[in-house]
Amino acid sequence: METVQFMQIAANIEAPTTYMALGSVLAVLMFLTLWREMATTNTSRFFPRSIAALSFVASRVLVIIFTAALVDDHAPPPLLYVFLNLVCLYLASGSIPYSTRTPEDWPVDSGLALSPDEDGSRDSRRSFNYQVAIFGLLGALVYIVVPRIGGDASLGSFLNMVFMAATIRVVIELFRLSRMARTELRHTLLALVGSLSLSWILVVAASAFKGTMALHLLQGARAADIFALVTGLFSLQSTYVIQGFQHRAAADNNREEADKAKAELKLMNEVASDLYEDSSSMIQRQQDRFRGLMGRVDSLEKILQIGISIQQTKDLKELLQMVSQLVHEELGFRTVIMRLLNDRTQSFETKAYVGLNADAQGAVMNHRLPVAEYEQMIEPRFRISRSYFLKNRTPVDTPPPGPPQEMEIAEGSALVSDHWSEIDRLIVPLYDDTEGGQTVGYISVEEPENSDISMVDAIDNLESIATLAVTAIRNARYYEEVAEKNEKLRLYAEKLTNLNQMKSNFVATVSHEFRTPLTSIKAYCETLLKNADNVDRNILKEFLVVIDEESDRLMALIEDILDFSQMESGAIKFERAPCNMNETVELATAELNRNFERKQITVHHVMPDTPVRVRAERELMKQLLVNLLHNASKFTPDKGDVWIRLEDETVSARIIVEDNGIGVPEGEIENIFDHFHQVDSGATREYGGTGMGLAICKNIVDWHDGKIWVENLPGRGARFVVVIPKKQVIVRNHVLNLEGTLRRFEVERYLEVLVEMVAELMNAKNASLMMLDSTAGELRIESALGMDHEVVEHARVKLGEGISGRVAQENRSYLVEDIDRDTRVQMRNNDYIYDSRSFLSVPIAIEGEVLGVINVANPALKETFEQSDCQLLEMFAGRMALALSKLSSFTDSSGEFESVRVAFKSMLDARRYIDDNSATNIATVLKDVARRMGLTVEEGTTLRYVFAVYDLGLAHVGYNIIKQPGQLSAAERKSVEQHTIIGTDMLKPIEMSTTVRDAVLYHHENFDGSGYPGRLAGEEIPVLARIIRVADTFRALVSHRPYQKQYSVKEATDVLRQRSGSYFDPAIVRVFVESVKANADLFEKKRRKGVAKKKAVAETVK
Amino acid sequence: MSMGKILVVDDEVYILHILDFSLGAEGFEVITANNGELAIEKAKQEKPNLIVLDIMMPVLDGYETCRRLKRETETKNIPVVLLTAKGRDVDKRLGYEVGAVDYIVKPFSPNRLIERIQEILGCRKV
Repeated sequence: METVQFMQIAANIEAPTTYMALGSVLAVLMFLTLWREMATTNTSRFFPRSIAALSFVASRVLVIIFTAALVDDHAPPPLLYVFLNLVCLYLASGSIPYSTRTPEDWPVDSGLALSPDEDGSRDSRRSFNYQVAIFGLLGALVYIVVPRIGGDASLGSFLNMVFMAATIRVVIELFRLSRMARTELRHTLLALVGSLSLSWILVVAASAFKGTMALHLLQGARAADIFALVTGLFSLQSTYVIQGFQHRAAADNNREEADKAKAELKLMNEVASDLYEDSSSMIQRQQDRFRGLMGRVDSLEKILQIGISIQQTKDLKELLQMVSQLVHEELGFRTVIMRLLNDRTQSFETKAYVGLNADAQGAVMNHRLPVAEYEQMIEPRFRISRSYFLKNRTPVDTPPPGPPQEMEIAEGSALVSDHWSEIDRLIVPLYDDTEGGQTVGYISVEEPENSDISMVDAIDNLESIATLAVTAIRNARYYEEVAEKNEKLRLYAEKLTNLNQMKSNFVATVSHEFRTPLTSIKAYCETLLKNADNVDRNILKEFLVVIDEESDRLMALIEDILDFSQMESGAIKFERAPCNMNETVELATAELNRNFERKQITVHHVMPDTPVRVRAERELMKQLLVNLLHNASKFTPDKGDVWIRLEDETVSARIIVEDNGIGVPEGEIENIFDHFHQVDSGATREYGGTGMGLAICKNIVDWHDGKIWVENLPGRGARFVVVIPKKQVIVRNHVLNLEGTLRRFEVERYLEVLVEMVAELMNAKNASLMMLDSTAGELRIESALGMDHEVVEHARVKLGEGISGRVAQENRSYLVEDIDRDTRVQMRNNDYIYDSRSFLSVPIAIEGEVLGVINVANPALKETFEQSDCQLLEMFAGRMALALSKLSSFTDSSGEFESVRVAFKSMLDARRYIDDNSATNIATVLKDVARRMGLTVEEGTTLRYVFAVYDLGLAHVGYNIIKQPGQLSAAERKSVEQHTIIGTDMLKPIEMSTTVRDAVLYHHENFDGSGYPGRLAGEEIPVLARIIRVADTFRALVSHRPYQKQYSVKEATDVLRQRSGSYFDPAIVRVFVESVKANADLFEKKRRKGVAKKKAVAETVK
Repeated sequence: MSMGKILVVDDEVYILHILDFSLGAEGFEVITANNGELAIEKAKQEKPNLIVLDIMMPVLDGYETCRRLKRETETKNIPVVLLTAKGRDVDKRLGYEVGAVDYIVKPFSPNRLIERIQEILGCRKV
């Protein structure tokens, strides 16, 4: 459209003014375009193009100026025009190559995308310039060679010719370039080049013509000019547009590149920051590690110091205290407790602690943690390294009231977190790997002062300390062992020295004793010899009597010494036989008649009407009594009194000899029975004797497994007490040949003690233990009390037959209250081996497997056995089962076997020591108390059982301490306080029940917390222990004990009431006193019995 | 006619008896005591020419008795012969220290004792 308009306009142009205006507008537009192009693309081609355009405009202006001349007088085109035209075209040819390339070929990375500066184009440009010059020269040659072509021969014409020829070459080049240009521009460029060439040719042609022709030509040239301007503008515009596209594409491309670069940069940044972080955290870690290492070095140094100091300590207690203290100070734990394993009791005992308050101390010190509970306490899921965490909510290790069951561990806290706040305790085992690996104890720590300290470090440190401590403990123990052995050796050496001393004293004394009769014999003989001829017959006889008597005395002395040394060496074989103790007492008294007679001593016999029988060596029994009575006669002043009391107990006989002499000096009580213990002082010389009498007594009593001790009766004299077991237990011979693995002696004593214990516990006159021979399917008696020897050897009971057989088959107890009325009993004759109407038979079973049967018959203090007796025996049968299973699994002489025997023996000893029948009555009272307090049947039975065994620790503390009147020394007091712990330890081999063990352990706790061993108070004390506390005190008060007077029942209950609330649980005292009142007739009966006893013979010898 | 008065002290009756007999047969007048205190009393009372003293006696032993006798002006010049089962040298030395003139160990020969007594008393020309 535009073009058409322009064409019309051009066609209508007549006047050069119109042409000029249009040309100017176009030229200005063109410059503006060029300017804009320059401004946006910053092209360096602006000036050549501008000059080209300027030279174009200038050449046209020249044409206009000279138009008239051209039209009018054939004037050649002005030289300047031709020159400017050439310049214009030449410069245009330089600009065209910008458009010749396709966008694909544009160099991407060049700052100027359109730069044509390449070697190739530069070369072609150079050859083009040469060609232009050659064409110019060619024009000049044509002008020179062909005259008249240019009209007149002038320099102007010559130059015209040169310029025109050059112009031709330039035009050719322009066409060539235009053809090579991009398709979008090619036509425009061709049009531009064409119009320019046409305009030039027309102007040149116009100069050759005149008039209208020239005018038309010039008009044609103007039109071509206008067209050229338009196409030029158009081509510029197009170039510009294309360049714009190219720029945009390039820009897009750049942006993409930039984005890519940005993304890459970002990535790089990330990598860099990661790297930075990594490295900084690594640095942090390194620093931490360094700090940790420094801390470790510090703590290792501390540990080293601890190690050094603890290795230097030889005293175990001090050592442990030191370790606790160091853990407390150096590692910063507020509470530290160290416990060590006691091998004997298999429990952990507190040995040292730091940071406990006064209340906790006692509890912790006395709380013993059995290994089994320890193993429950430490849970593998809470394990770190070798240590364990406890999330125990119960406070500091306090023994929970009642049976110390396993500690409660908070559920749902299965994972250990690294926060001290969530952890109550840390247990670090003391693991000794030398003795085949054993946990010998543990350190328990609580409350770190600084809860930020690393747990791992803390554990590390603690475990290092634990390892050091184990070594130190081992060393200290060795040291202690060695010290102990040294001490033993020293004592032994001392004893040997003493013994030596005593021996020489003995020799001196004995030699004196020998010299005395010998002196008489010699003196009398010599006198007789001297006066042989004239001695009077009467005097002779008198002298011979003296010699005879003194010879006898000498002989007796020699026999004493022989007896003693033979008994001592065990050379004599004695036989046990039934022995009537009443008779023996009479015989012994008669033998010493002379002695009593001489000093006018009154001898009082207090003996039961029915003879007391024991199985013993008769002669020894007599000698025992003679020695005791002789001793009494020596120490009793003239006209004094000697009492001999004989008491019948269920399984033992008790002989008590009291004199009213000077008593035994306090220091002598312990060793008065020692061999050679004599009597070197003037005072003892007064009483004469070999000084072996009591030593011989002790030997005799020991041989009979009995006990002998002496007590002072303040202000009255001495009392010798002998307890001789009746030994009516018969052990079947077969048993004694058992497998050859056991020594006969041990098995015999073991079975004896079991049956004795049963008889004692049940207050039965008969008891038997039958074991099941499962292959033969029959029961055989192993040992029995109060049964015929033949029966024991030969009785067999088939399973399911008789009472025992059924008991074994059904694993069920049988209580026969009256054998005549009991319909269950069919095979009375076979069965009936005891002379009793009431009969109790209980199975001994372990885990449902029957091992045997225990039978008791003939209750001593009542008509029939009762249901409660049955429960008590069942309870004891459980213990026997445990003991017997040990017997059957016993293959060598391990200490376990002996410990079981010792446990039973100690129970018996404890019962025998306590010289009263009140125990039975109190047991009855306790049954009532249990009922009144609403205890279960089982608890009631357990109570009775505990009452039967609770004092067994006394046997090991030593009766002498207990017996000592007056104040005990601190050491003795401690020893007495130990007896509950020792008792509990001794029960261990046969006692699985913690209820029983705790009741025994805590039976000396006071209600207000002032008792021992645990200083428990109030409800903390197991209820059974609280009841036993009351019953024990009551029993001690109403029976005779040397350290206090005997109380009446009324006085005793008053004492209980006074101490109610301090020593005793008030509720229990109330029930107990009520129960005693309700059973008052029991105690009344006892007193009458005592009076009856006293009616017994009081015989005065002469 | 009395050869002299002898006090015999011993807790063994048979010894007193035989010494009474033997010394009596030699013409001595014999008085006896069976313990130390009684011996001192009798010594003061009877003023014997010689005392035969046992050592191991109840109440007051021979050494102590001798010591006391030597302290008293009335009795200190009476010679004391110790007659005892204690035959060790230390015992003897102690015996001489407390003032005994002779020490005879049991079992003893009565004849030898008589000879010694006669010697001691003979020296004094009673």
